[in-house]
Amino acid sequence: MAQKLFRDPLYDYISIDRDKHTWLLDLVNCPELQRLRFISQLGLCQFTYPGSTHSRFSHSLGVMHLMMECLAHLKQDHRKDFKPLDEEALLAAALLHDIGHGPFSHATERVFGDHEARGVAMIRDPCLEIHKVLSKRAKSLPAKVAALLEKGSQAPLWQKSLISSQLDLDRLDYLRRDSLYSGAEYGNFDCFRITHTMELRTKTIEGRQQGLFVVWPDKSKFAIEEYLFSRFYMYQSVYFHHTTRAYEGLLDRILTRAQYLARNGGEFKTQLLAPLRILAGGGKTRNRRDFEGLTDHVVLAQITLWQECKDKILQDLCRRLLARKGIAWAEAPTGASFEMTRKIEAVRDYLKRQGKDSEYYFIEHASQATPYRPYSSGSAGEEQTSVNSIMLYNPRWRVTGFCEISQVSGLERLKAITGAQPTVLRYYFPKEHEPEIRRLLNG
Amino acid sequence: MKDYWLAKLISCVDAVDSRKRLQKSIYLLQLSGSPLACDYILHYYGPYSFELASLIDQLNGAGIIEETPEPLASGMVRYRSVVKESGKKALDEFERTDRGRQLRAQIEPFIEQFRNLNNQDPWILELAATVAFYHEGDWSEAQKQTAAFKKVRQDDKKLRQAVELARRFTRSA
Repeated sequence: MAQKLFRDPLYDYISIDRDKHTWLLDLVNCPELQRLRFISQLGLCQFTYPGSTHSRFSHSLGVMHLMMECLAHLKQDHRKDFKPLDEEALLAAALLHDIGHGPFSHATERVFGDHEARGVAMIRDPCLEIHKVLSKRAKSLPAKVAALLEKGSQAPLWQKSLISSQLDLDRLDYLRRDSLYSGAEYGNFDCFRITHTMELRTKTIEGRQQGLFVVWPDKSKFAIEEYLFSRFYMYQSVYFHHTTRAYEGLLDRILTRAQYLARNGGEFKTQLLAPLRILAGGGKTRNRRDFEGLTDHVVLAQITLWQECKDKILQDLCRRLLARKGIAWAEAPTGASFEMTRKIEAVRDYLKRQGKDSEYYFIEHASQATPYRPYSSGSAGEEQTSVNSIMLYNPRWRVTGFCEISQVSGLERLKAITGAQPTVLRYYFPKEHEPEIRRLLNG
Repeated sequence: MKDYWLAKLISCVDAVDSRKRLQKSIYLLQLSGSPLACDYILHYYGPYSFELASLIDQLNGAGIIEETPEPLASGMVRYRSVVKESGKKALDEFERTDRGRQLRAQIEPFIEQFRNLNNQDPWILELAATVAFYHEGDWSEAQKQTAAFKKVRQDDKKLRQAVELARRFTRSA
């Protein structure tokens, strides 16, 4: 059996069977997927954790690998639940779930648009290589893959929950991968147990039979608890780190300023590197040619050039970013919201007097991540499914044998991180104005 | 900026003698077009807003208002709310800003009505808010539903006064 092997620091080897899955290997080689080699998984996280320079490409391979393992495990007992093309669609969805990401992943989404909608549109675009490879495998495959990734689609519940839920393969890969590359070890947990003990079960509620659910046996509860705490720690320590957020905020302001200058025409627009000319049109594009070249490297090259541009604001912002200095931060003081409004206005007035436009030099970031919500949809009374909650199963449990994880005995610790977490509001501003801005925010 | 409007209204009276009065007064003001608008459900004592309750808690936590518990003979506790001196200072400072001036102008037409509601008989206020909640175009039907809900006679004198009060607020909407 001929295997294509990829060395991977997380799984040691990721393999694709050349005979059985030639089409999958063709998908890996498509330009839309290869582009992800040049999109950093964690935006500017390397400004804080120097090791976190890994790409969306390695993460995508990782999710595909986990999907292969999961499907092999599930097929042992549930082969009859797999319809033709289910396996292909799930593998492709795992591999392609991030193809819509712009440069520096989430850090530029405000300017370049939401990656999920773009990814689905790309899979449906008959001009793109990924669509051609999928169609060649089976005509209906692109639509099936797009349905798995599209919010609100009617794809089978258990399949959607493997791709996107509160315990999906995407999260299982990125938490451990980001932990490994950043060196922040608390992102680790017993992934093997989670992927190799999952089951498919049918749940009956008030006499109505629901679709198949992904559930875990009671004995896996501690592995899942560990996963949820890992997620909590990773958000607190890595994803929401103030330094990362500061420079990602600055990157967003740089692109916003460039967008403003590009829209106002003149020579600025004509001097833009080709993939960035979309800034003149608002940044949100589905044009495949524009998007193909839109990678971290192009943005960084452009920022390097902008260090010498005529616009003093853009020049200064770019120099601060590339030097990784000159940005300070403060946490918002507690108080009534109208008091905060007054203080923020005072800061804006102060910056204006200092010749600094607060739109670019006073950046607000609110971070709030809930590791787990028993009802992620937020609407009380809505039935819990394996998409919006994590379900455990034990035939000895009353009535149905199912139990939502936060209600399982022995997991009382989960209460500390279950449900809405407080929002942390931070402000970022030029370091040279730190004493006065801190005084105004606290005054 | 609902917390500002709420604090501003409370600052315009000496004190609000209970949370229930605050809930019903703000509800009636909302019907007459006040910008301080919250979602209400029908609770045992009439229209009740979790959002408003949370705003009161926030103002308390931020040190803008102070609530003093007053035990009642029934064993219940009533909370008397006043804006603290530091809260008044915060309101003054905010109202010196452009945004503060704008928001003050929006709430000012309702201050006098709030003062009147603050002097209203609490039972009539509770009945009036309930009648207004039931009102969907037919006042006698709303009166009938309120009478059943509050277990009072349909021709009860205070209920009739409550209907008049509710009509005044929905008329001015």
